[in-house]
Amino acid sequence: MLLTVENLDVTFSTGDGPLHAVRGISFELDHGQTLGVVGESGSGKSVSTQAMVGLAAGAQVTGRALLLGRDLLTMTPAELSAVRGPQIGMVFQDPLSSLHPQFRIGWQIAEAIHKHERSSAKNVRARVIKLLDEVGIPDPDKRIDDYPHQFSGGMRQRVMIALALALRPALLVADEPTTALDVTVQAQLLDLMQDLQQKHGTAILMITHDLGVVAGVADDVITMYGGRIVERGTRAEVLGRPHHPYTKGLLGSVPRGGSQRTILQSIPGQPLSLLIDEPGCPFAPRCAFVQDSCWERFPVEQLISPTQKSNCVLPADFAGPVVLPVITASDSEVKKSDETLARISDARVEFDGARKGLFGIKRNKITAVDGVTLDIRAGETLGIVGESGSGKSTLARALTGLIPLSGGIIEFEGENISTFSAAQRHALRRDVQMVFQDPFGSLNQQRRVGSIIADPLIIHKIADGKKLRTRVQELMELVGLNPEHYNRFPAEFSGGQRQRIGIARALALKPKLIVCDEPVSALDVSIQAQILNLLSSLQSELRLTYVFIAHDLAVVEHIAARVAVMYQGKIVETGLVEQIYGAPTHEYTRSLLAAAPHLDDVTAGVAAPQNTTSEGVR
Amino acid sequence: MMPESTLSSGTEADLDNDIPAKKGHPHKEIVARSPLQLVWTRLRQDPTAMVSAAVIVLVIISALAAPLIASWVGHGPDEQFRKEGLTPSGLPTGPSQEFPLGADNLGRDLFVRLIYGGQLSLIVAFVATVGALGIGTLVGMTAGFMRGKVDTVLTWLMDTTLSLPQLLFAISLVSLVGPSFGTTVIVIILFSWAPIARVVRGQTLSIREREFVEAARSLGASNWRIMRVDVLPNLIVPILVYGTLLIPQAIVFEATLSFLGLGVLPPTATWGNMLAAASTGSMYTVAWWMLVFPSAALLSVTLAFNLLGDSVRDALDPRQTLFARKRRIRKNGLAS
Repeated sequence: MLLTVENLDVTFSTGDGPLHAVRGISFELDHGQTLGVVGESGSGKSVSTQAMVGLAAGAQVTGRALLLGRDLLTMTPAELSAVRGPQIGMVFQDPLSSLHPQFRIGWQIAEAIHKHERSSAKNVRARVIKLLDEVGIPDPDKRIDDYPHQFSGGMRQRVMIALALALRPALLVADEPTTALDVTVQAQLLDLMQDLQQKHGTAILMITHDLGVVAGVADDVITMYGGRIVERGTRAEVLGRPHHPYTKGLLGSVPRGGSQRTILQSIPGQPLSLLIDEPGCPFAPRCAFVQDSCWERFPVEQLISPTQKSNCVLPADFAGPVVLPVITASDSEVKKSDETLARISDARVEFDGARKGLFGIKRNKITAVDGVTLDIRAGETLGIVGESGSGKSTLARALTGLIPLSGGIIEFEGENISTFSAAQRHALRRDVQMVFQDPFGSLNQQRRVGSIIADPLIIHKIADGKKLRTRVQELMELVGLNPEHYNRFPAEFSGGQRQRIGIARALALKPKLIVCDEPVSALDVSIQAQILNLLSSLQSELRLTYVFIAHDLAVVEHIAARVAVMYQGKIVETGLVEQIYGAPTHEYTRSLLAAAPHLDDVTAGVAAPQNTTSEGVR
Repeated sequence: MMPESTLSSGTEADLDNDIPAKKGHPHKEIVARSPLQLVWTRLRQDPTAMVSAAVIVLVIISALAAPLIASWVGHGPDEQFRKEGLTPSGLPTGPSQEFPLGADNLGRDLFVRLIYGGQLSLIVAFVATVGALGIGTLVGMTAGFMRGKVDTVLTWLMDTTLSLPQLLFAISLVSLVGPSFGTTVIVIILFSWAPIARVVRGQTLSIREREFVEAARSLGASNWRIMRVDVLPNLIVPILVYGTLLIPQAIVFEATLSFLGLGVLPPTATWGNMLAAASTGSMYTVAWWMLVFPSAALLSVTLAFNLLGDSVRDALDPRQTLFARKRRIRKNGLAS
């Protein structure tokens, strides 16, 4: 066995008392295997591995972590540093902050080699070039002398992998290695990691929140919640026939191919606080099948199959595929309306780029949106999909009038908004609202939630005094927040609740069109499903029109009826979801769809034929 | 259009509050503490901050109680005691039962004058700091938020002010309008607002790009409203920190001006003109107390304000001192 972790326990001391981040976990990883550790934020998945390699500063770590028979936890800092590199390689989420901006990448990789081996500079340079070639950097003999900022995000992550694998470690710890990257790049990197694994027999500990990534690469899967391992088994078992209600909940939360007319099974409630040391099952407060004994102690591991184990008291035959209920035709009375609410014709948005010329008077123009034409029909959800830099967020801001157009026309209810007077533009805000991506950044931390939601009502002089408070509380209730919490600060809410606050603020003016700019991409999957369900139910209740911008194809497929695919500032393809996902005509759409992680392949492989989710359009 | 009815079935399960309570199980709730509470907790754990605060509170109390102290001692601040305070040869007497900190060259009680001087120093410092913070914040926020030509003009104004030779300029200004309490405050404000404006402008530049400002714009908020409601509250931390560090600067500036005879005029006691009295005719060679006690007062108060300012900044922004805290944790050990 390469890595054996026994009873690993990690505690941090905070101003609010001890934070018990990891609560006695044990697992094993053999040579050449990939172990996927899945969990949401706060599950302890990252902390446990950081503590293992001595990178969790200020943590109190107990238990054992044997790497090739030597306990990592009892090593001195010097011994640990001798292990990190030759025996354990690490790749982190953000390749920009993991590489030093002031040094050439070749030098950084060479430094890692020099630290552990005596070798001539010439030999090392040749080795670095070979490594860069191996991770797929074109022209490695030239690029070796480039700085990190000269590489794209995906290329930087390749450099990080080269750095991690420079000394051929037996174990590669990859902590959310592809989370910051676009799907097409993610797919390439996962392929690369698998190739290198086969070539060198490296074991990979893959920590991720993305079930699709795990479905693509892992041999075995561990699900973590609240600092504990709740289920483990082979990939096919855990993803195809999950037993633990949390694993089931996670799988039911993820939008996937063919989930368009399904109700996502979001897990109710919020992630628990690790400051509370509950003796029972951490998932009990959110579990639909909770029993009295769950509160008293954490259930012992139960054998579901020879390889699958679950820490749940439910009978073993509870294990089974996750089936999403399908909305029947009567529920989903999709109002087929041909009435056009807004029309974008040949819209262009240009930004000033770098200065050029002798005095910097001339400037380069950067075209973010390049001749986009789109119709938005009343009552529909139009999805806009694209990778980073495709101009989709810029288009959203132009549509809401936050950025002026450089060319073209945007019409709202038949009127050209570019020619609006200041008063007309002010009035337009009532009809067009926006939900932002970052639930942390889009709310002013210094203000109380009630006053944030009341903002639009005050600005547009709609309500004041007692009426204002009543209206704010109505809005909070509408989005599923406790109306009594209007006096709290945003910091006291979790990410999902904050996104609800943002939605309540957008709804305050009873707008006709809401532009959602990546509203769920910063949220955990179970919370993401809550927000998606909320948006759907609000739409049918309030007859809203959504423009839903996202990079996640499955999310858009779930919520939108029509999709526009955006690439380099242009719309390359528009059509009904079934057309685009079923029979894409543009090459870029095809490559996007091919790169997206396919959860269905695994779940369908094991699931019984009645699994409706696998009968997707793909 | 906006029905008040409960949500449809799709989200009913999502109502995320008090789910454990439903199960009838006691579930401890973590009570989130307000930002101010957190700051206060951190400050209380910082001995430097507590000692500095104690010194400052003591000085403030004695300044407030100055008339009481004077009547208790029985000496007015400007009252001259030529018999008791001066030796027959005309030199001031040293610390004694009658004059706890000695007398000055005119036979006045140094202790009472020191307390009255402290009162004046604090008033000048507070008024000047509030004035400088007000002007600096307004100018900096406007420059940072409006950008463009407004920014260019205001930044140019800041740079000009910063490049003026402070003391020379102050001397010529005072000789034009004549020294007084008002002039002192105005001179201090004149030379203190620009650095604040710079700090505030920098912060505003980054705040205005934050998503919540964009959100406010999308709601139709006016520039003035965004500056007031969204930008200003986020500037409180730098303003508060800069303010605490500005007070000692103002105290020293006031003392300097008074020392040069350009500040508040005698006989009104200030620490500056008390020091000036000690140095005229090298009085301190025969009466050390005239130099030592005002200097000690000036030093301890400015030091206390500076240290408190540092601690306040650490408490308000613990991220900057993460390294220091980690070191402390490692040193003291977690298990303890």
